[in-house]
Amino acid sequence: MPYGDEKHQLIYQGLVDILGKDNVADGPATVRAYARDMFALSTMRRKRPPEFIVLPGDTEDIRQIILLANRYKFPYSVMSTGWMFPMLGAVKPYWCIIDFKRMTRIEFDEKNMYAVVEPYISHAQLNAESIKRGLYNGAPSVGGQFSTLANHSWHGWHATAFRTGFSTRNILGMEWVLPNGWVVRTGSLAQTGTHPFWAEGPGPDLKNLRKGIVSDNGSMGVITRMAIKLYPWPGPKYLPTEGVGPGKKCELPRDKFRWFFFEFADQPSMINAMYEIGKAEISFMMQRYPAQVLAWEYSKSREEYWSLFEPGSWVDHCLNMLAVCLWAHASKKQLDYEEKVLKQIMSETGGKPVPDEVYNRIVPVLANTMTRPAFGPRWCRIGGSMQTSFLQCDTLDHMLSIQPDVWGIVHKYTPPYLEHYGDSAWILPFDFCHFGGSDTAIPHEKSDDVCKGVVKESMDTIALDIRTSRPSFSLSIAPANFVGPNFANFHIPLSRIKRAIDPNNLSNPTRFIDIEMMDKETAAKAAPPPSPAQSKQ
Amino acid sequence: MNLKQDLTEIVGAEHVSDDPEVLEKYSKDFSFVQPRRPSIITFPQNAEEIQKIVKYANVNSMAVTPRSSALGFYGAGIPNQGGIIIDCSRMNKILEVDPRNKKVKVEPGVTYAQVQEELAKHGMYVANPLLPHKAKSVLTSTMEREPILITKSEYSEVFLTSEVVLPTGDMYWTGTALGKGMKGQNFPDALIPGTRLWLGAQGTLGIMTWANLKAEHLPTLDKLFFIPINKVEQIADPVYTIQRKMLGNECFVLNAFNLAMIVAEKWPDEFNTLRDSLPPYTIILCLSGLHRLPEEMVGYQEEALMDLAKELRFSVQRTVGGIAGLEATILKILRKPWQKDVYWKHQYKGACHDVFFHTTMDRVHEFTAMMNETAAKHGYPTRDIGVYIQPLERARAAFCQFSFHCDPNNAREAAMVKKLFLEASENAINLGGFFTTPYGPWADMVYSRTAQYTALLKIVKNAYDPNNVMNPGKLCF
Amino acid sequence: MTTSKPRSLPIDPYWRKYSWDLRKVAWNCARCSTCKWVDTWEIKDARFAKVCPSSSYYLFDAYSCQGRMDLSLALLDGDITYDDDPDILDIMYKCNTCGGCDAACKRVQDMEPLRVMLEMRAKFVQDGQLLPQLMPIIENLRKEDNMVMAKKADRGKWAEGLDVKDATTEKAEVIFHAGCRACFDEDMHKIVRTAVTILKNAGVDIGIMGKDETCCGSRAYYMGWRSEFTKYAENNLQGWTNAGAKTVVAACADGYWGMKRLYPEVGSKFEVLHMVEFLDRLIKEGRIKFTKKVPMRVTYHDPCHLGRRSNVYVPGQPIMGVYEPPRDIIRNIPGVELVEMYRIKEYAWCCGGGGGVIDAYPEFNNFTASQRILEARETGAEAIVTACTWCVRSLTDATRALGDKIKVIDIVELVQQAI
Repeated sequence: MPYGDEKHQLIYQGLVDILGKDNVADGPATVRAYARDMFALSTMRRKRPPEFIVLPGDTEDIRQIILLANRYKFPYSVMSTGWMFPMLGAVKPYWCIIDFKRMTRIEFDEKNMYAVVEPYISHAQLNAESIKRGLYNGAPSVGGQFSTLANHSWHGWHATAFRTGFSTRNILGMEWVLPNGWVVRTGSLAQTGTHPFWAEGPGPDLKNLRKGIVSDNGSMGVITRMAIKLYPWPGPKYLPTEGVGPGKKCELPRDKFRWFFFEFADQPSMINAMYEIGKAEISFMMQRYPAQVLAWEYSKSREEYWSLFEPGSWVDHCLNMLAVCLWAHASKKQLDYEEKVLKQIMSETGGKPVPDEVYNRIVPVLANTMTRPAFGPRWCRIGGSMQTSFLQCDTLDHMLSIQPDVWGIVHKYTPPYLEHYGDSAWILPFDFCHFGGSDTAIPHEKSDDVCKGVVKESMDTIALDIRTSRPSFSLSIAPANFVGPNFANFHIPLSRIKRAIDPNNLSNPTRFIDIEMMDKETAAKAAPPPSPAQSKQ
Repeated sequence: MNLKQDLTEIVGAEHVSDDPEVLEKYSKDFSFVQPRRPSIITFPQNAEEIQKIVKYANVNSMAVTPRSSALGFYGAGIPNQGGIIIDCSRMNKILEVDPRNKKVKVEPGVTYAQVQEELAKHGMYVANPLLPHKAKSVLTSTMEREPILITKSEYSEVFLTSEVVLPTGDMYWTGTALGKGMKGQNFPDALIPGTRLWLGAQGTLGIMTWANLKAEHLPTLDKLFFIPINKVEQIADPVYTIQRKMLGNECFVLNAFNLAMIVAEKWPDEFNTLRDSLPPYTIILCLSGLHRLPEEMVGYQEEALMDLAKELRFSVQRTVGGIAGLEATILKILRKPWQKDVYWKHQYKGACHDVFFHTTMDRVHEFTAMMNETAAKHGYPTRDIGVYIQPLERARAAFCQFSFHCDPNNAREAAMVKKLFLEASENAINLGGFFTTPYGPWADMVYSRTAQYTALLKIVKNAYDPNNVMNPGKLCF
Repeated sequence: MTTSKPRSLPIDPYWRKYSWDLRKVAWNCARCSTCKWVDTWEIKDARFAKVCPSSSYYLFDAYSCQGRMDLSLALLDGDITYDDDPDILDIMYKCNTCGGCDAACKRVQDMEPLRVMLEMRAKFVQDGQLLPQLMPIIENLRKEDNMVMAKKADRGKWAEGLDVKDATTEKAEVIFHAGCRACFDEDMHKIVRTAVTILKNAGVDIGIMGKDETCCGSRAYYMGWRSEFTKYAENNLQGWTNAGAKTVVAACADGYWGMKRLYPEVGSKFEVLHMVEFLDRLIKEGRIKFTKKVPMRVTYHDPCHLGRRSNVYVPGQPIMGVYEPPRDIIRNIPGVELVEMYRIKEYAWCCGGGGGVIDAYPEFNNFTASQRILEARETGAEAIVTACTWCVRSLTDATRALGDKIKVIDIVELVQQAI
């Protein structure tokens, strides 16, 4: 560990010169706070903290940090709220983490329905400011306490996706510092400099160098500002809550929002219902809310969570449960119309309303929270950790077809995975069911042994996704050069771009695309075969 | 190298042409972009042939310019550096219609006329721009992000995934089309880069050999409403409020000139009469019912619309300018390409040059005023400007198109309009209009203002097209 | 699939039923960041969305609950030692122990991270790792029985001339414990004098310990000096027993928290009430009647140790505290309009004075209080009403520093105006 050596001191002084002493830290006690989280991979790597943490105040600060990194050749990664840390933590000496805590500006263009945020604006902050203005910004299932910029740029799985689409579609103009120090602005921000109202262009949409099903993990540079699309919100200016946490309730006005939950005998019938709802273009939120997630988000304590596994638990009604929320953008008559159509669809597809007892539990505690998610992190309360590796997006029928593979893997690894509530994956349609996604999140204990098993599961899932040729979440978090040979060598042009904009390979190296590994492989191939004498040695 | 012979070996003699007349045809389009003759035209029939041509071009340092057909409006298919034209018009199959997943898989040569006709059999359609040319490739239109009449966010980004022959001749598939194990192959954001990198690229980053596009179910009931507007400043408020309540399927704004162009049957008398009798601007709003309880679906929307009209004091009518049967006329053409032989924009003088860009609804009047001023400066009658305003994604943004007409055989007039076109474009950029697809002369205007975006684009281009063979000279390449 | 009985249960029973385990809480911090923010549902304004003053001021994650879990774990596991970083003590002590993080973590993770932080402070003291800024305070406590660097001899001055029983010599059913801040801070004298007068006028058999009152020990407890706490707790309990008291009324939130939540561990059986609870009871019993109108728009600041910190955690149960009594009192006063701030009750923002911060880190204390004043200003209130002398001190100082016109008053003073 080169902590405190001459290079360290040079870097430290350089960072202080840019940001001031108060905004640079290299103390072992301070950097320790940036070493781990609840994911298995981080747990395995927890004893490797970064060497520096910096708090830039704006884009120019970040540009200067990056220029310094190129001068002294130190790697860096970014962190906003730090949830998806496995892909951002330090893996090399002299690692610097750019912490965005000072970048908290937020601006609105209410008429044109977008907000411009810096990286440390949380989703809930954006949501609070949006609904005051009659606007809405989607509902990430991960929870409201996370950076909305990071959420949109990393993955962005929103409970409102049936109408608000996949996150990529909601990113408008953005500002981004390349690893060579250039400041690139995308969409209309590129040309106008001030109005980020439009996402694509001029010409090809360069945002897509950074965004697929998940992002490049900051390997292509640092996003410093992002304009995010907003949608009309028919609800009140403040979320109407009652009581004190964790038993808090939220009642949205019934003349504006109506929730429905339907049980299905099987998954195909439920998927059919989804397609029909998509075809009829009714409702604003529609998804299969998995019983597992529902159980951990609903329960206010560990004891309550495990009690839900008792025979006859009300959660049994939620195994194949479709959650639908109608929003009255136009009028109450819209709700009446949509309710009528919804019931018609249910009568055709076999959906039965859940019992009142179940309905009344879910709506005020969980369903309404979907408009501003609060309980995502409860998944860690079951065993300290959770794993999502099987996540794919394509047609809803595809989602149905992959379920045996999903649960095959999960069952194989249960234990170490903990018992889950039914084989119910999250199934989320996007854009009126033009496509959709399936996500499986399973809790596990956070111990070294268990985490080893879980990392092995990730490798199995990657192998399965490669074998079955499914470009998925798991493949997106593996280095592109590892996956690329199975997928049209997509990593080759990407590596050229990465090399051109990050000549010293400093922007979160090894993640997204592992240039070092590529170079080693190239060198190994180029090396002459060992002579018989060498072989003997 | 024997260009013709070599290419003949790839696509067959009957699918290669170096006939001067054919070359001449491909050297230009309806735009002001400087004509340039290609060396040869090829008409491949599949991805494999395209791959071979592109690889051949790489080996021989020839430029290749992809075209979906001979039709062109903005100069994107004019071979700036000569070379080989790959005309994909033979690849005109609709490969799949998937009503359940609301998608259609098309080859690049499939026209709007074709796709809408085929989809109609399934009660479907592709959300289209305003009256596209019937020979226009639906793949090209969606790839070039042409704005659609429908303001629903869920319908936007029509282009989903595709198969691409990269400029190196390698194959690539965008979105989940990259995985053979994906049933639908229709999710645009799988492994990086996602589909959008290839959109708006004017064929500089690859040649699409097929694409999955969003298809929508046709409404079973449509009711058209017209909101007459006297002053351009008055357009934004009704549009914003209507869209904020998420009312309607199609919604767009035409000035009297453009509306008259579209509905006039008898030229020029009816056109002239209509142009004078129509309100200066008309917001056209189509309330639609889908297959379930369509009357009720239209009903609640209509009631909400009327409430808004009362509240904001705008007039909602079933026609404008006293035109009988206007609703039926518009509905007949709304989701179809232009049917007549002469394209609607060419009816007036034979040629039309559009300045189009994105802005926001609240700024449309600024651009209109600027266009009028610029036109007046060049002696172009302001009443001859066609204005089309397309609210996008529930009026979160607006697409503006200002059309200037001229007789292509009148050199003086055409020269005047060309000057006007260039100055109006420059002025629009200076005023903050965003040219998302910078065609022809716009490219220099735009990219000179976006230095670092441009520099990164060049890196991307170099990564995908190291020999710079694919439609060189376009965009900033 | 139908549900079957669980077959893959956590090996560690910790995950099946709540139990307290210091290392496990530190180890299992999920880094979810819930501890840094106001309850997600309750965020009403982007400017006032944080709940952790320390994280808001010092920004580095080390200065958040999450970072303190990381540091605690590293110390417990021996991955870091005191000698490795001079900032270790600062990181642990630059915390108001307001419990905003704690309420959030209980709500989402069933964990009590503040308890970890308090245990670590106690460990520091045990290990001889003493924060230099606090040493004079503790030395003074040992010598003068108070936490505000004052002389023992001056303790009874606040009550001079007040017609109230001396509980050191007379029996009294109720003991009024003024607390160190009120006894020695002249600006607070009127609050406690008014409090005593109101109670007396309501017919309460009330007494004070006067000059013989000693520190409650609560602040020493959360600074890590556990033995000092025990000493003062035992001393106070003895005094109250001698006075024949049944009930003890605290004027400050820190004292209330210590007496209510910590003293039982030292054997206390006394009923402990905060002044607001007692007032609320008397008002509801009709023993205090409001006769005057107080036309004023006010907002209420929840003192942390009266609010969420007074909660005894029961998994799954609301993080209750004394939230409603002060609000009921304010609502009952004729003419007063209560307007709430964005952050209240279990997700209230701290005044900044707790955790030893007012003593060790005055700038941070002032930042925290200033944020609260800015938030109060947003409500359009003329006055910020609170129920703790430490809060009154912090908020008053911040108001002066900001040059703000908003008044800071204790709820007792508001009540007095209406009687």
